[in-house]
Amino acid sequence: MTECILKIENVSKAFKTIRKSKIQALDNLCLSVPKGAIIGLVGSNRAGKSTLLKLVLGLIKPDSGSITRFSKPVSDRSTLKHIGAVLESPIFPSHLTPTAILHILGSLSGIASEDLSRMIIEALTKVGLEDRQEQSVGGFSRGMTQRLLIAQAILATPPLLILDEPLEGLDFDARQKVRDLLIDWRQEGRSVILVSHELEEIEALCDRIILLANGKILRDEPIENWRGNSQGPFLQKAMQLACANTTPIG
Amino acid sequence: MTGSQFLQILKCLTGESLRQAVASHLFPLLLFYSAMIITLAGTVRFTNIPEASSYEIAQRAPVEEAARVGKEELEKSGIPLIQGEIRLLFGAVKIPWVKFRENAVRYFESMLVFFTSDAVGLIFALIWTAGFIPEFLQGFWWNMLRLRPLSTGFMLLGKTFSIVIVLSLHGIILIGGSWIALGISTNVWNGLFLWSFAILVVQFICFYPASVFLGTWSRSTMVAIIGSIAFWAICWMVNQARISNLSATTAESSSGVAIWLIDIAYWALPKPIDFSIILSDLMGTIKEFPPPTAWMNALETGHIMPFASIGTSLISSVVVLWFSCMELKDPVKE
Repeated sequence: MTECILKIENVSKAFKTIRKSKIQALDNLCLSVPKGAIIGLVGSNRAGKSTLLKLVLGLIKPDSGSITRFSKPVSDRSTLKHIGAVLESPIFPSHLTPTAILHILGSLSGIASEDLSRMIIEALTKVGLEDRQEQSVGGFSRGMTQRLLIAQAILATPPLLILDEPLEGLDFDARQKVRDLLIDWRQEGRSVILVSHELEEIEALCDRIILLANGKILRDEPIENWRGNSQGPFLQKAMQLACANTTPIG
Repeated sequence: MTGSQFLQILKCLTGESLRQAVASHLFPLLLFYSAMIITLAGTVRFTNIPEASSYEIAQRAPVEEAARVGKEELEKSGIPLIQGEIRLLFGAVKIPWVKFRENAVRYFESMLVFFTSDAVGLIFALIWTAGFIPEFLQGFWWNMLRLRPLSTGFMLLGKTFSIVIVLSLHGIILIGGSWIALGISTNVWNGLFLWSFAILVVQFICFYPASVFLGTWSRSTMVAIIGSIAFWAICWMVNQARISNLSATTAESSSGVAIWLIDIAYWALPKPIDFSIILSDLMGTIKEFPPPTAWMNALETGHIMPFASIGTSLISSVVVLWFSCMELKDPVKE
């Protein structure tokens, strides 16, 4: 049986708007993530994808339900050292260099100083920032900032990567690097949860795709089932079909 | 966590705070201010002011000698009084001086500490560092930090400690630089002046947590600046009210409840006036630049207890830091 590294059971989360009305971001959601898989999380805006990731990372608290990471409750912060994350809208302190940022984040993650310098160079090389490691990030473009964001996520080679729109702002070369990196990640037995609006990337990389709508899972199946007999891009059509015909599965 | 990991984290956070300090808009102003103070100390010159060690009674006498034996007696014996001058900023400012060179240095040092480690120096330090915590807690960056397997409280304390280290480094440059400049220009090396460094750091540790709390609560630099200065002012007023009560006559003194409330507030808050008096006492400058009579009375009657005063001020800072950590409590543990 495949080891389950993340388990979400009956999780609900609602937010209050400024007008004090309630938005149900996630509604009684259940999900499990096995070891060594790339799982794509798709859905329209406000489907609940980013909320789900924040709950898994412990950045917000669920209203009900439980989340376990590596068989431990989400309140156990020690499991965070096994997770690398890319969050949306990155803004790093402009006075720091990539090396300084990775030094801080690596040290706080408990990486020993004797290994850290080597790991930083490796991570920056993987995202193509090795020649800019001592440059202040204040002058970085959106794409370079995104590369740095990915570098901090892979720094400690964690068994689980949680990526929210990781390809945003990246040029063709950088996208290819990230794609290769994720494929290697899976081959090494690690897992990835990938949220993206770029359906071609999801089609190319994921083993399993979960479609979210209004805080519920509409469809959760292996990629083969989504593809069916289609030739070429299939996800857009399949998603539209699912939204039209499927009853939420929780 | 091992000791070496702790040191590694502290080293990284100190490096980050140092870069933050240099990148802050106030840093050039701070450099200018420090350079001005050191230049002021380095341009002190004395004219006709003898050193006490080389003083010969037959040549010149300080003003105290005139007061003791009488001016006429002194004149009869043919001994002239000291009538010298302290010159600052290459002679632009001249201060008449009738005592020894050592006294002149202490007088100058007591003015200097006001701008380095006492009120002005401390407030400057609070303004300079007020933005560090709100920037540290800036949305995205703070989320990145929260994804580390350490408690948020530990990270906040580590950051605060790193800011204290940065302030101390600046204190070494400002106070050490002033001391060296003054020593070179006057040839009087008063080691007691270096106590002002310790008092600056201790005062900063006592007052900065208020800024940390306000920065944590509001995430706003402006709130942290205004709030921490207001906090210092409130502490100063409470401290002054207590000293006034101690020296007041029965008719002047406040009501029993008011005295009781002031006493509680005095012991619960940091005590800026006590720090000033303790510093003057430690530096031996109290005679050259005497504080207000009520302050002197409080010191002489034993109402200012240095260890209790510093100890309770530090305890209050620990309490405020604890509240700051609670403010950042991890949402999943609520």
